[in-house]
Amino acid sequence: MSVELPETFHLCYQCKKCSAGCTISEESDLPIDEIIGWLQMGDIDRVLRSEHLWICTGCQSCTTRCPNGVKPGELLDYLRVMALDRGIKPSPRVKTFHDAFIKMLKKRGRSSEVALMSAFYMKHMVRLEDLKNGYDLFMSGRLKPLGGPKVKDKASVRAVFALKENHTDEEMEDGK
Amino acid sequence: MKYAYFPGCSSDSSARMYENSLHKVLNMLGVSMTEIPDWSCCGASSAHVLPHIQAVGLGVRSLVAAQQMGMDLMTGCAACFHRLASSAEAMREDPGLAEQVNTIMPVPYVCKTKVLSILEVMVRALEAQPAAPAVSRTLQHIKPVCYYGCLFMRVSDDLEYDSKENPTAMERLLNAAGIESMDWNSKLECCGASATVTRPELGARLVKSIVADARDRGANAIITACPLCQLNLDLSKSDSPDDALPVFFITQILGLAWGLSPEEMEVSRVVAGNKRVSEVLA
Repeated sequence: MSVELPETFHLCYQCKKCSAGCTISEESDLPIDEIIGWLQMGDIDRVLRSEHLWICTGCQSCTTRCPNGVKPGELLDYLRVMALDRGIKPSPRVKTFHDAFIKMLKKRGRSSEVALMSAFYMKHMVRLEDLKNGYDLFMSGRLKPLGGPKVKDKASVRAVFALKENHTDEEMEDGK
Repeated sequence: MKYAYFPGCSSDSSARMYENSLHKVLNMLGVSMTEIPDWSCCGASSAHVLPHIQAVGLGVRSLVAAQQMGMDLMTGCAACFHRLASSAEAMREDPGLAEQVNTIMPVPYVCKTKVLSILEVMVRALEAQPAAPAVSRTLQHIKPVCYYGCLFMRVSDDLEYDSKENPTAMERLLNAAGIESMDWNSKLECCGASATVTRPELGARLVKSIVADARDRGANAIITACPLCQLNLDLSKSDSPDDALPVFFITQILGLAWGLSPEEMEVSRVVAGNKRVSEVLA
């Protein structure tokens, strides 16, 4: 599926309010104001290689505070899909998490914390504190065993995952 | 007031005490809710790695179900609220996208169904009532800070019921239950959401700074309305587990003050500071 970036990044006048309030400003290798700047300069490759895409917690502080409607948080959603499309992989834990979540959604239509964490820790080492957390939640009666509620009309969920953005006719043909 | 209720996926598991207490408390506030039949997950964190149209479609599936009930949608989860409100906004703003999404819906979504958070619903219900429910239990020892997290306040339009940068909805609600909360700086800081799993060191940094701010203010409890914020703060491993701060859902505390029992409010289900719960809520 080809991805077209929304044109909103052209509206940015570099006030940097987005980065000032960014949750991950300490961890980011390419702050969100610079991501927008490089997009304006046309260097999308640099942006797609940035770890920022995958560290972002999705808090949407940038989008809410932007004075000019750039919606940086939403741009990042498009950039993540674009990066995945080009075979750029996030770090293993990030990839496992989202793969497992989306697989579960497609199958059940709802998320189950136990199913998600079971799938996640099939691929990553369980730390002592993860075990402790699982134990604490179990003891407080807050873990739902596997096989919790599922959506009945699964076909309608599958239909959502079959949706493809329709930009122009020829772009529809590479349907992936 | 009647709403189509979207419980969200944590409602039967890690946030079950929120689910149970919010039904009782909203009932006291004269709010009636009907669960949206066959609702599906909003997409949560992973909606942000899905093609835009699919992320929107996930929200619209439940919005259409609410539309068919003829009521506005209400949810207690900040992430669900944000995903559903963003989906509704995308449908309003992008007619081309809306047309495509509507092709797979049983009936087209006509963009009239509003998405409301539990905070807005409770504030409005309180305003509409001739009098707040009577305070029948005085919680003398609780010194809480109100923790909003990000996503209840992160919408494009102004919120009519609150300030997006310095919200006070929870403080006002607690006031109506005779509880004074303390001011602090971290009410809108991010708990890290799924970063606690995908990037544990980042998650730990965020959660620690929130809990440390609450502690520095002299708070002995944190009150929130978001299931993921509650879970992340509740499972943050304090250096000194004996004085860890318990993290309650606001509906548990309102319910207690308005006369419901600690058992009904399931206060023992909190993990952090569990041993101090009875002392804090005395």
